[in-house]
Amino acid sequence: MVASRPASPSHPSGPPRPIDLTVNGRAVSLVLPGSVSLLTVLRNDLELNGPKYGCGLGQCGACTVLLDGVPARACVVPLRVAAGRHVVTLEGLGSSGALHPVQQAFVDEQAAQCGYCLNGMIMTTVALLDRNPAPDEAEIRRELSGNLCRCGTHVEILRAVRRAAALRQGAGPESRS
Amino acid sequence: MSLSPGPGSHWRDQLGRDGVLLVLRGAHPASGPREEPAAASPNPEGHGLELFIAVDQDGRVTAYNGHVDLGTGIGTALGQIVAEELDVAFEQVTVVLGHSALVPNQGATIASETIQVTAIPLRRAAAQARHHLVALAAVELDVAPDELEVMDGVVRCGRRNEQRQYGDLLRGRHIRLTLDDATPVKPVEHYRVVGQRVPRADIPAKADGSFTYVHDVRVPGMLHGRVVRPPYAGLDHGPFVGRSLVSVDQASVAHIPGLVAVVTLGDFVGVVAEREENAALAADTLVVHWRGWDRPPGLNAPEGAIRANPATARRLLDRGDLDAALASAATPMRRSYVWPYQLHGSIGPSCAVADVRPDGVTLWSGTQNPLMMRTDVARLLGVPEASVAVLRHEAAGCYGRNCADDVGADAVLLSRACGRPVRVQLTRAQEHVWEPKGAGQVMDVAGGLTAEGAPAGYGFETRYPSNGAPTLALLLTGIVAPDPQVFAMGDRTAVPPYRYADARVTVHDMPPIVRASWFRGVSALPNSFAHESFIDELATEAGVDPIEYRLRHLDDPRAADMIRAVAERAGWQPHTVPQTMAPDGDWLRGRGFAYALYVHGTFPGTAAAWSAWVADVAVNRITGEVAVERVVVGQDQGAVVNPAGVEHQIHGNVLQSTGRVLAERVEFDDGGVASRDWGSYPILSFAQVPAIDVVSMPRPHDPPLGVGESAAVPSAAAIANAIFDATGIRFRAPPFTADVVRAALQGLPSPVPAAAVAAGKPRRILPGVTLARGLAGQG
Repeated sequence: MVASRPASPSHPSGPPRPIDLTVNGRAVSLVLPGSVSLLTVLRNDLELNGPKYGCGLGQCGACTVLLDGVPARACVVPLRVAAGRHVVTLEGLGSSGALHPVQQAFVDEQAAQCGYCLNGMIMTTVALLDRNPAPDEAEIRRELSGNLCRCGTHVEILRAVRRAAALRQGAGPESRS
Repeated sequence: MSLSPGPGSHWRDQLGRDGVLLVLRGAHPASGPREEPAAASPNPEGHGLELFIAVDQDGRVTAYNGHVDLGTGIGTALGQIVAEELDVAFEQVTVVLGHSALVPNQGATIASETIQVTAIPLRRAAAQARHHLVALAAVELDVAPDELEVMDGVVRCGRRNEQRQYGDLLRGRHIRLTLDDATPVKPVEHYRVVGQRVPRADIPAKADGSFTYVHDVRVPGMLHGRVVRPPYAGLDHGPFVGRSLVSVDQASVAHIPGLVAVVTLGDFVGVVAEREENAALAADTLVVHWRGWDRPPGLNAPEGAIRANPATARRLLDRGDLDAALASAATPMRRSYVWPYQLHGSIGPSCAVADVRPDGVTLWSGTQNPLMMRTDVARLLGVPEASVAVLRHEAAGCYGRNCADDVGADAVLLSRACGRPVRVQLTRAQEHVWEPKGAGQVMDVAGGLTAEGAPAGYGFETRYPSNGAPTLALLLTGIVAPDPQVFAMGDRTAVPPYRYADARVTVHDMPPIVRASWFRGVSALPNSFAHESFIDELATEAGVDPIEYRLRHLDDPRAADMIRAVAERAGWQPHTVPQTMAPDGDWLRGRGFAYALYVHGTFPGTAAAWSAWVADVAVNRITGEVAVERVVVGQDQGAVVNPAGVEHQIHGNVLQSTGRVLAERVEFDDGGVASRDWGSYPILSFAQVPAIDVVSMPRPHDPPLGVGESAAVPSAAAIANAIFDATGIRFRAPPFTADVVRAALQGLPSPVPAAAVAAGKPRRILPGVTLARGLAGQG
């Protein structure tokens, strides 16, 4: 049994007002309901694949982005909450050939197996090192403890965070884009 | 090196072209026994020829392998092998994995077999191509082949100071070679690429967001789908499967913007919308009426249900006279071990995109086995396999059979209904509830000691309720009957590694209770948990150091070498009683050992790498919390293709298995699987990561063996033996959570009467039962 129907008008109560925000340094204006998750908008409307859907509950960290520099779980952030703010995704940190020091450190330490959690690990590390350029081992583990990795890449990820701190200090404290 | 899910055109297009050398073989013979997932999939239509290596006139090398990358970086290691045998630069090689129409039919990617098994023909093909190209150069240069050297795809003759590039040699030629399994390969002494710590080719793109996982595939006109699963949560057999849907209320979702379709077929229910959030909303909102169904037996205490599950005994080993040996034992010992249901727990719930058109089907999938997936799609749609193309993209790591194939079939059904490409993303709860679980398992050991302290026979029986988990849509639509199928996979590593003169090993083959299939270590991890826990008890009972006792009864010199190396690295202090380590405040300290040779595949099976663990634990005597602080892990994997990759896989397996042993247990309620998110199923966190010290045995002249998974197999017993060393209490039912350990330390009575468990009532809390038996068993 298949019930097809013509596509209904997208917004029966009239088009919502545009929501403006900045994504990876570019102004974006979206005509979408404010209740749509930021993750859905980033992935499906802006085609940014860095943030990943992992749980939709804010439990695993795979969708982490920076919202005004603070790590946020994009899967549970409604678009309206991001209005007027600066969103940075994995793609906004650096680019191929000009990786952000944290990305470079994760590559150097080969800190991925399947790599699905990698976005969250990198974004969380960027935020951590912005706040504290020289975290100790306990702080690194505490900061990452909300990000889940199933492959067991924790050893390489911890190494990458330490390496990123060293790289970043070598490059100056304000290296983040 | 680059990785590709497949070039734009089919390699068969090259069959008529000049400027190419191809190494091919006739299609692989059809599958082995039905129940063996490792076997090639049946009926590989369109596979009259299989290509392993193509070299073209531009000097590019393309390598084709039937396995896929499950997040281990295996493509990089395969590229190293090809670069080595062909003597081309690593950068010249492209590795194609997992495109159903392009790659050889080499079966599912399981049991860490890619390097040990499926890389063998690829290596030969590369060597064969090199021999042929060198012979061509020898003719052109008018020299003997042995006067030529090859470096980076350039054939040089030192004496004549002349050279030819591979590409030059192919210009105007079309060469087809039939794979010759007798082709000599390069001696180890000449290796330049194999054995090097080559960085993985996939990681830079994963770190900058440019990598295309299956979740990131977008095709023009793509719609978004969600499925609504039946209420019999995680059950895949029984007369109600496929026959429980009463009705769906279409009006309940009529208001949702951009809704395209509500699709039902048997118990398959899906919704499709223009936008993903609206598909999700429709799936949540749709009112669906279901019939009642037969409730499963309680599985929070899986021992009773597994023992009650119908089974056929299969004798794997019968040596000496076990009954006489047990009857004459000075100290008879009978022990039972219970493994919990566990999740594969892929971090990304499964996803697929399907485009079903009248002229053919394309499926972008994260499957473990593109050819099996193709067979399933053809069956589901009633179309020829040749009209189905499965393009495999990486997904989140799966560690076995997760919902990757299920979601592919879901996407196909929804695309067919809409006539447009549809992407289906499972929710976290759907992946948790419906993934084929790592099965619970029950192992019984009957043995003991002679008066001299030697083992007095070894009777081993194991029960593993698991199968290949038929793809869900086939069951929900009634295309495959929901009958309980039995796979013979409980026998992995069921034969103990020790020299027990009188031994009998029996596997009770049985169907699943809830949906279950292979998960890392398959049945071998629980079986080894029993073997290695039991011999540890024998050593303690005999008053002998646990490692010394094992070595006395082990004939395998490679195992013994590795065990000694691991003990030495760990600074093992021989001891004959527990609690010899000084406590630190409330923290009791202990150290445990375990060894395993992971044997997988159809019995008697294939051995992968040898592995051993020394685990250091701290156990809080007040809270019962267990911390694994350090693991020294040895592995003898023969020759190593990429030491960095091997080390990485060992780390991953140590950490994943540590998490499984410490905390992981699927919760059930009377509807079925109740663990629906990470809150109810905690996996290892950064706070729990132990120090890991890898002891890799140098064996460059021995064949490479499957790595990583082997290193998970000793985990549970090493940790349990360490907890015994710290506390003097044996734990025989993981996970060793704080509540389980605290109850035992405080001598609390079992909270569940054993009879209730045996009756299979849906009660919570297994551990007390097993613990009570464990404590009693000490006397």
